Amino acid sequence: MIRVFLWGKWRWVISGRAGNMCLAIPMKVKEIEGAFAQVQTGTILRRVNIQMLPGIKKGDYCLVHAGFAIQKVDARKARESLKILNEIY
Amino acid sequence: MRYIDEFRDERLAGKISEEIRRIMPRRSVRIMEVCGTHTHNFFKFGLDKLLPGNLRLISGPGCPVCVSCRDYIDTAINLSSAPGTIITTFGDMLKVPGSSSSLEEERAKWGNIQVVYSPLDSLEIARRNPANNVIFLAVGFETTASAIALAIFAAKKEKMNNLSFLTSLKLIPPAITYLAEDRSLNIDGFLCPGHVSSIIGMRPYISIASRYAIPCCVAGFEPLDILKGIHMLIRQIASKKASAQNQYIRAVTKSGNSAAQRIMRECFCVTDASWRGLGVIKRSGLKIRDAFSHFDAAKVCHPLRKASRRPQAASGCKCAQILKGKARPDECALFKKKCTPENPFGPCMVSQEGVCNAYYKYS
Repeated sequence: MIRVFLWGKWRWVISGRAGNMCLAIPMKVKEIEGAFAQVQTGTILRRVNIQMLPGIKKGDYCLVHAGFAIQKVDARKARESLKILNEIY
Repeated sequence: MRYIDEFRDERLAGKISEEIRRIMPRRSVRIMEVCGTHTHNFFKFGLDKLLPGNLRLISGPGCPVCVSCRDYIDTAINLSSAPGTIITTFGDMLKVPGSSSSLEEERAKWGNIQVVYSPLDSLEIARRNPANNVIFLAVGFETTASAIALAIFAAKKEKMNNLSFLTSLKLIPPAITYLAEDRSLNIDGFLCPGHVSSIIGMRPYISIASRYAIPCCVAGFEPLDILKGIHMLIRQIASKKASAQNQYIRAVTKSGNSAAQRIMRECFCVTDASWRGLGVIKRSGLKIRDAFSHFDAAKVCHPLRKASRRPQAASGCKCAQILKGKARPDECALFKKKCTPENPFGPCMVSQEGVCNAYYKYS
């Protein structure tokens, strides 16, 4: 239920009707086309600028903000974070 | 892994909450969440109900719309009335009250204000309307500044002559420093913004934590990120240590995004900036470098009329104190009465990231 609500909200954010200026969403790189890439989250596809991430590759996840990929999401570090969270106690 | 659902686990949230309660000092603790998106998600996910009663989270100035000063809105409104002008803006800016009007009211009058998702959309609008003068309201922190810089580079490459940028770009570390210096605020720790930090890295916080002996922790925006960030701060506060810690390791590195920083440096230089509620903070803003001055709306566009100033003394709006963490939204006489998201009186009620807006929706 929570997820449905949030995906709905994200659709709204990505379409540009919401204005959270520092909001960035993790999206998967599907295709790289020069300075741009096709990225995807759920059923949403979007073309974003990747000039801030020169090393980004197909299959990587990146944070997308205002039509730009601003940072790569590090899969190894994400797993490390989850491990730390699971180790509480 | 999609980096979303994994960080919304209810069972783990409960465990972290219990751990926070276990290590929580007996005294009252004040943590400032600097970023508006933290404030918003904190209430949206009901995290306030998971924390001990003596932990007070206070919202800071991390909402770019809320801290844009009235003069900036007035200038944008003045520019919008010039014939042939199209103003492009992020949606949040529309309802921000200026001295005598808002961009939404002007849009109803002139019909020439368009909401965009990305600064690059402004380039497309300028291409489609070669006879019009397109002005993008370039508002934001470091997260948005590098995106705007790339849009300016693209406009220069295309030799566009009908597009300019009215900037009100601000930097987060000088604002945190300003708040850390104000000892009357009694801040025990700063929960620092994850996405700004994905650009600037951890370095600025390392010097703030050591100079002012106030713990800092950069956190992501999912519920477990926020709770873990608070847990890391409480642990530091309880052990009377102050360092800069990074909870959002999957997106924030020590040095940040160096390509984005270089892009920002190439396009902008640091300048003093006026923050609504905080006043002028030295070296806390960005302005367009002279090499790109023909894209600087402040230099190439001239407002047609002076704004007739709406008297402010009788307003009673407490946004200034709220942005400094000196008052809560429910302590403002206008909150939920004269000031609502549909009819906002102050900027903190306008923006999705504004603290009054979050309190109104979720409290």
